[in-house]
Amino acid sequence: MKQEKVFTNALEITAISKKYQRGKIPANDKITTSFQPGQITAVIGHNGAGKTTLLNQIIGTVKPDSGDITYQGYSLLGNTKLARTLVSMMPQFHAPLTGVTLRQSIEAIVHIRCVTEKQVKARTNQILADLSLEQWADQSGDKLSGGVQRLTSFAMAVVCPPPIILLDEPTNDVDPVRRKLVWQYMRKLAQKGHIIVIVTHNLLEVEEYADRFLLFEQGRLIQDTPTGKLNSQFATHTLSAVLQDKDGLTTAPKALEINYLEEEARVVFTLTSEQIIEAINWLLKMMDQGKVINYKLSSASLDVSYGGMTNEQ
Amino acid sequence: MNNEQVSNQIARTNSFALKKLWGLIRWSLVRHKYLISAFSLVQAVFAIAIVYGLALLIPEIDAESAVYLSSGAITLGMIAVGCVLAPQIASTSKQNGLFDYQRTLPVSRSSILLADIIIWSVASLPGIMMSCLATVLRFQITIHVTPSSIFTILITQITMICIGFAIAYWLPPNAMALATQIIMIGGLLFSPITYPIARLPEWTTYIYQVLPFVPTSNLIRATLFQSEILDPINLIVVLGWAVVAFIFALMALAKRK
Repeated sequence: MKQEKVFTNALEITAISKKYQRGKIPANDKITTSFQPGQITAVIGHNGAGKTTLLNQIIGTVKPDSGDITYQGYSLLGNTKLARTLVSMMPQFHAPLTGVTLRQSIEAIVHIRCVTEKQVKARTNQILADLSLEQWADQSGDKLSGGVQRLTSFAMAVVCPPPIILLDEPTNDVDPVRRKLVWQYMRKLAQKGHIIVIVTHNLLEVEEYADRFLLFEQGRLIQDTPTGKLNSQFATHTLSAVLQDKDGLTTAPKALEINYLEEEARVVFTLTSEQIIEAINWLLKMMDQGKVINYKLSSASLDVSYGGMTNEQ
Repeated sequence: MNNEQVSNQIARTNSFALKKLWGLIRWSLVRHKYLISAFSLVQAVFAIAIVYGLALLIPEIDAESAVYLSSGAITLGMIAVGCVLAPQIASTSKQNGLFDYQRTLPVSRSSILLADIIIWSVASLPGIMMSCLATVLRFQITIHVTPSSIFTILITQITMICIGFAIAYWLPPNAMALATQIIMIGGLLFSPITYPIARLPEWTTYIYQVLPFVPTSNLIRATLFQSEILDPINLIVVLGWAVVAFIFALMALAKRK
C-alpha cells in the first residue's frame, strides 16, 4: 500500500543559494531553515547580508540559483503564482501611495486579496482602527509622513493575511506607540497560525517581541536562536555609560570585557553577577564627580552581543 | 493553517481572476484619476491641432488630404497615448516601486498588463471622439462606425499600448523617453500618416510597411472612413506587433532577478 506523504505546515527553505551580476556577488549561500506557523521569526544582519533577498526568493521575484522553497508539499520556486497566493509581502520601501489615500491603498489590496465585496469596508476600517490610523485615512498617500506610509504598507500586507507574511523593516520611522501596535498585530496573526517573517535592524524589538532570530552575514545564515534562550546563553549583564571624559576609565571596575566606543563616548562593561556591585559603586562615584552623563544596566542583550556574533564591527 | 485551509485558499484565489482584474482596474483608475482627465484634455487639443492646424499648411485641401488629416489625427492620438503617455506612466511606476509591488500580488502577470491596457484604451477614447468630431465639423466627412471600424480602433489601441509598455518595461527611463520621442516625431513628421505615401521616396515604403504605425492609419482609413480597400497585410502587421509587444511586456513582468 502506498504511504501517503505527510506535509508539514512549516515553510521549508532548503539549501538556497544566489549570486547576482553573473555570479560575481553572492547574495545568499546554501541557506537551510524553516519557518513555523504561530511563530514570529526575525531575520537580522548587516546591510547586504542577504535578508531581503531571502524574502524576495520566498515570494518569487528573485530566483535562487539552487535549492528549493516548499510549503505543504508545494514548491514555491516552481510556481510563483502559488507563492504570491500563499505569501504577502511588505516591501523594504513604502508601497507606492502616489495619487491614492491611505484608505484607498488598503481597499485596493482588499479588492484583490479578499473575495467578497462586503469585506472591503469592514476589513479596511478594522485595520485602520487596529493600527490607530483613522486620522490619516483620507489623506493623500504622498503627503503622509514616512512612518504613516510605512504603517500603510504594513496594513496592505496584513489586511487579508495569507498563511505566510513577510515584512521588511515594518517599524522603521514608526512612532513608539504604533510600533507596539505593529508587533501586537503580528503576534495576533501568529496566534492564528500565520507564519511571520520580519527583517529588522531593531534588535531591542527582536528581543522583546520575536520568538526566534536568524542572523545573516555575507549571505550565510550564521545563527538560528530562540530569543528566549538569549539570557541563559549569555548569563551576563551589561553596563553602558556615556562619559564626560575618558579619564574615569583609569579606575574602571573589573569586568569580563570593557569596550570604549570613541565616537559615542560610551563605555560598555560586560559583567558577571558578582561584578555588578563593584561596577555600580564605580558608577555612583563617577556620577558624584559629574563624569557620567547617563547609564543603563541590563541583562546581556542581543543588541550588545550582536557585534560579537558577527565578524564585522 | 492546515492543508485543507490552504487548499481552499488556493482554489478560492484561482476562481476569482475576473474579480482581481477588476480590483486592479479600480486601483489604477483611482491612481490616475487626475492624469486621465488631463490626458483627455491634451488629446482633444492635439486632435484639433492636427485637423485644424495642419490644414493651414495645405493651401487647398482636396478630399484625399482631408481624409489623411482626419485619419491621421485619430491614429496619432492613439500613438500618443499608447507609445508616449502610457510608457511614461509605466516607467514612473517602475521607479516608484509600483511595478515591483504589483508583481508580489496574487494576480497573474497578464491581468496586470490587461488592466493597464483597458485603462489606457479608455483614456484614449476622448481623443478619438474629439478627432471624429473635429473631422466632421471641419471637413464634413462621414465617419463609418461599424463593427470593423470599432475592431480596428480596438486593435490599434491594444497594439500601441503594448508597444509602449514593452518599451517602458525593458528600457531604462532615459532610453524610454528617447524612444517615445522618436516614435512621436517620426509619426508626426516623417510617416505617411497625415499625407499619402506617394510623397515620400519609394524605399521608405519598405520600412513603413513593417512598422505598425502606417498600416494602422491605412486600416483606420479603410474602416472608419471607407476611403480605401482594407488590405489584410496591414491587419496582419498590426496584429503581429500586438502579439510580439504583448509577449515582450509579459516577459518583463514575469522576469525574475
